[in-house]
Amino acid sequence: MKTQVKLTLIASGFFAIAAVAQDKGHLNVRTVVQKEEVVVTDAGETKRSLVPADTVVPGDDVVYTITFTNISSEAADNVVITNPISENLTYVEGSAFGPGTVIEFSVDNGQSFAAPEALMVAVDDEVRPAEPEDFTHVRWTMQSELQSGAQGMARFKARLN
Amino acid sequence: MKNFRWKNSFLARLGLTAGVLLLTQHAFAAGTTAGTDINNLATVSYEVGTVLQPVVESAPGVGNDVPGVGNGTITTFMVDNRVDFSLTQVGSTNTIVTPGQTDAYLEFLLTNDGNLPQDFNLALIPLASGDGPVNTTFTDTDVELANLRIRVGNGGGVPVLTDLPYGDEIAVGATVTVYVFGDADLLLGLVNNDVANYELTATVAAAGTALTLGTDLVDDVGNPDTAAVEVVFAEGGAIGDGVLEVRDGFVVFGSRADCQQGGHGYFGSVQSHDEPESNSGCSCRVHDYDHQQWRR
Repeated sequence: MKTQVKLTLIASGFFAIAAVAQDKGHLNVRTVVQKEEVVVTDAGETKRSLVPADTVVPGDDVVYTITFTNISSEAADNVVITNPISENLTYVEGSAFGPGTVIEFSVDNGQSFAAPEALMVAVDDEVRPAEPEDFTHVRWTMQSELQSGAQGMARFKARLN
Repeated sequence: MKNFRWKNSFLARLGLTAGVLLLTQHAFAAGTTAGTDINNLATVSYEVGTVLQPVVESAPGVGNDVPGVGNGTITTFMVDNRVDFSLTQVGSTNTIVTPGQTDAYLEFLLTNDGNLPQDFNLALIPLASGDGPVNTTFTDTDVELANLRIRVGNGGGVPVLTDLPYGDEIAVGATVTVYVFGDADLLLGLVNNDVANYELTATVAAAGTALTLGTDLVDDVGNPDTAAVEVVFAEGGAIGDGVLEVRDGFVVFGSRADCQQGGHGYFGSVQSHDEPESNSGCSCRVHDYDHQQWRR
């Protein structure tokens, strides 16, 4: 009888651990928003720095940094990071960055993605190449596995309308 | 927000390119309204051993590692109050008035270029000789008019005593007319060539209660907070102080009958082709805008 109770306790403990492990996935994903401050030094040099986005008004640039870490013991493959761009923001051309990734954009709310030069939009009966203000999403596709314990980073800058 | 119209021909044409169709477009207005939350949520998809895993959404702080849609937390910031406005004089010369005239006024335009409705505290400062030129020509200030009033026009085109003496709930992008005028005895006792110059100041104040002038705003520099609307002075597109000034004034000359074309507002603008009138032995001169000189 005593042994049976012990087994029951051990079994329930195992399932509890299994449940925790299931809640916690393979990746940890974190997004930070910062404001880009531009300072011109006395020497006339322009210095840019990232500060907390505590005070942001129209015309300011904000930088989103997404970090993703493989917290499991298995490698993750085909890692794709998708980030919508708020309708109150305009993507700053050429600002998207992500080591080891292919960066693409969407102009149709994330339904499809392509390189900027391949994107077209239709406005008032006219088809024209997409411009940064047309972008609705940014997508980074990793070109290699994200190994256990490894961390990747994706970043872009946008201007508050 | 622009409107997009779809036609089959366009769909076909677009289908031949690597491009994709535009369904929405970002809104571009004077600026995102202060107090708006700008939210962001990234999503990561991946496979483990060729098996597609539930997506993981992002979170600020320590991040999120719980798979599944809805388990992430938005990263957000709030749009702050960018105070930007302009105050300009209507016209470019002093308003010509005549002794005894009761309907002379100065006229200014006040525009809210910020991203939130604002009140504006308006004040008039009499200038003295030595305070610098006003309207180039009128550098001397030798009289001060009594009982001048400030009123913000409600669109009627002329000053109205019952209008408010401050800018009240001025909407984003809106322009109002500010009048400076006096009582019926405004110009009694004045003589030709008397000049009365003034500086009108507009100080931005908090809106929120109609028909009540809010308190003057204070820049929140050094007091950042992502969760509250902060005030950032940026009038004229630069770092500001929440206050703008503009100068204008009156110049007295002739009788009203003599100078019907020589004034401002009710009197209309004087152009080079306007000939001065003269009667009753009074002399009259008008300012020739084109040649920047007085003519009799």
